[in-house]
Amino acid sequence: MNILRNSTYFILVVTLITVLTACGTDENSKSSSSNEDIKCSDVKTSLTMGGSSAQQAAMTTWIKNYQGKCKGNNLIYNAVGSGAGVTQFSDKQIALAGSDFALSSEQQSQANKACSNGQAFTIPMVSAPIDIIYNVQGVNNLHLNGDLMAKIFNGTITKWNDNAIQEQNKDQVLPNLSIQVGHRADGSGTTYNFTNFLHSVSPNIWNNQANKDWPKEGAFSSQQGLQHSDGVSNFVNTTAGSIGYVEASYAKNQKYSIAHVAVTNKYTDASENTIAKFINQSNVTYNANGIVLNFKYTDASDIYPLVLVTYEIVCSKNIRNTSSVLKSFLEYTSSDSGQKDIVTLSYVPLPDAVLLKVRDKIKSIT
Amino acid sequence: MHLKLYINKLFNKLTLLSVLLVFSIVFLVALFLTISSIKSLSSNNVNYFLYPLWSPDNNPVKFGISSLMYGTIMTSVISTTVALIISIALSVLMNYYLPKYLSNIISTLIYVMSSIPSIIYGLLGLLFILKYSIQISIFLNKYFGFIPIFGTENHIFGRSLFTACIILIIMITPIITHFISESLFNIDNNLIEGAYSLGMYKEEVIRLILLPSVKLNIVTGTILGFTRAIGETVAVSLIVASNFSITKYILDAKSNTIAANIANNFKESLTIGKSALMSTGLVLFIMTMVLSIIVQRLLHNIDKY
Repeated sequence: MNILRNSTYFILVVTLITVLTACGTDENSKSSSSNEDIKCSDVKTSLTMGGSSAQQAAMTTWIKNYQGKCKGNNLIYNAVGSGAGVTQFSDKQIALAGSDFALSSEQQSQANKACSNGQAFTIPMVSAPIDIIYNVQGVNNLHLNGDLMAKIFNGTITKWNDNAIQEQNKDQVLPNLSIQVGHRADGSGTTYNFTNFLHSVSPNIWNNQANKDWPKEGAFSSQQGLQHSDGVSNFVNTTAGSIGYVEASYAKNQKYSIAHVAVTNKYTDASENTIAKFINQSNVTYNANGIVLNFKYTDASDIYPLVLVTYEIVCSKNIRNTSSVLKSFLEYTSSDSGQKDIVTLSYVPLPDAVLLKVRDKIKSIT
Repeated sequence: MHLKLYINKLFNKLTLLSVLLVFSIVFLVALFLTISSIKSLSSNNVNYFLYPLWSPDNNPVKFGISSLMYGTIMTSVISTTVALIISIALSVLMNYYLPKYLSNIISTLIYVMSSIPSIIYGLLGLLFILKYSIQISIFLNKYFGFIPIFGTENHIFGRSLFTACIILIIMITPIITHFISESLFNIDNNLIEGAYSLGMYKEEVIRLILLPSVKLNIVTGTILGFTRAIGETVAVSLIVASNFSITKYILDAKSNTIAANIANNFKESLTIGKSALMSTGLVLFIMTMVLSIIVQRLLHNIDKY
């Protein structure tokens, strides 16, 4: 019994030491903001926000910069997911919901009820490219167009050396390797925007409508679903012959390569310009419910068509005495410097035309 | 004397209260799950028990539990069986063959293992075991592919029922071992000495006398392990391929369980989707309840003889 007790202590101590040394140095919190654009509100309050995980990194940076200048405010963003965010907003638990989708009419009326005498509206705030990532040894310059992606991701093409892929990649030596498709197992805005692209660009090959959930029937049932973007990223990183899609911030510092993308044959890479060009050609719905972008996937040169835009849902009138802080926070996030502060995180600033409308909408908060 | 009577009465009331509490919790859980799942079940357009796919948030609403149930039963039954065999061997080894100090160390390690949170096992599986599991799968498929379950459809291995089983075995073996080894340790020495004096070999003593005398503990430990395996969420959800297919090939990357599906989908599900997940929770609840009732019946019968 004594030995038992002694060895228990021993293991406990060893574990403690390991844990303590493991989380030693992680304190490099630097505020990198040119913060003239932050105009603090007179009211000091705490603000709970939550929703989409696609904008979590952006929110974390913005909150850090904002609180750095406006002391006494306590802002929190919980990445609980778009669906949960909207539900919490409708239940009056949070002042801002981050969502990857515009509200449905049913959700809109529920959200309106949470805004007592005002109404809820939606504004785009963060945009990011979606990267097609693949792990094929010896191949690092892959070109994929819409039809090809649809065929690969719906399981029509099963080998990397398929003629259809070879045709778009004449200079590449493609191996005789099975393609392993990795997709998001949880519902996500990344999946929604990617399937929206596939369905819009090649509706004959990709029959399924745009959806937050990846399709499951037939050939899809032998594909592998991973939890969250980091799950997909990790899957592609460790699996030979794999391909997947992730929001660009998860595709950094990995061993895999990122595909060049085109609607049909005008290949581009993601950059601030190519994405701004793409967003600018979308239809913008602008009304009392807010601003919603409907993407148009035309085959112009220098446009990067795989883009994710995520929205903020807020109340037009003051609720629970939060509106002045919320307004000043959103004025910062939609300002030029606010949008620039998140570029290092692989986000891209929204184009000016959209930002002007967003700022107008924020000004209307009372 | 009067005070003693009073305390006794109070004690009776307290025990009654805790019994009621247990009953009401079980009842409330069942009630809550049933009420939450009604909404989705009433709007479902396919047979709940036969349809393998999952799309409750779309129109038309279609979701079923067959593939999830298959994955859940396969992983928990296989892993519990293997873990039970390992556990019996391990506890016999610890109690009767190894030197005292060695078995003490092992028993401490097992104690520690059984208290490690499951997310740790999940990460261990994801970052470490998965790699080797693919290689083992390729090996098994190459040389034992003639055995039906080790066949393959597309040679894509890794996130399979097999790997999920490995993780579960690592997780539940300590629990079962702990139970069995503890009860073997507590066996009356006279029983062992009596058996030896009858001229039995050590192997016979263990097989014919000792193990049968702790069969009740073995069963209890196994149930505990099984319920952990059937309900394990975090670790398994990191490993499974989350696709909805029923495959006889356990090495293929086709795997999902009820608990993992809940963990994967709960956050981003809408109203019907959440309710549909609740209904799978209800099925899980009923499955474990039926199982424990059956086992209790069995125990009752064993006790008679």
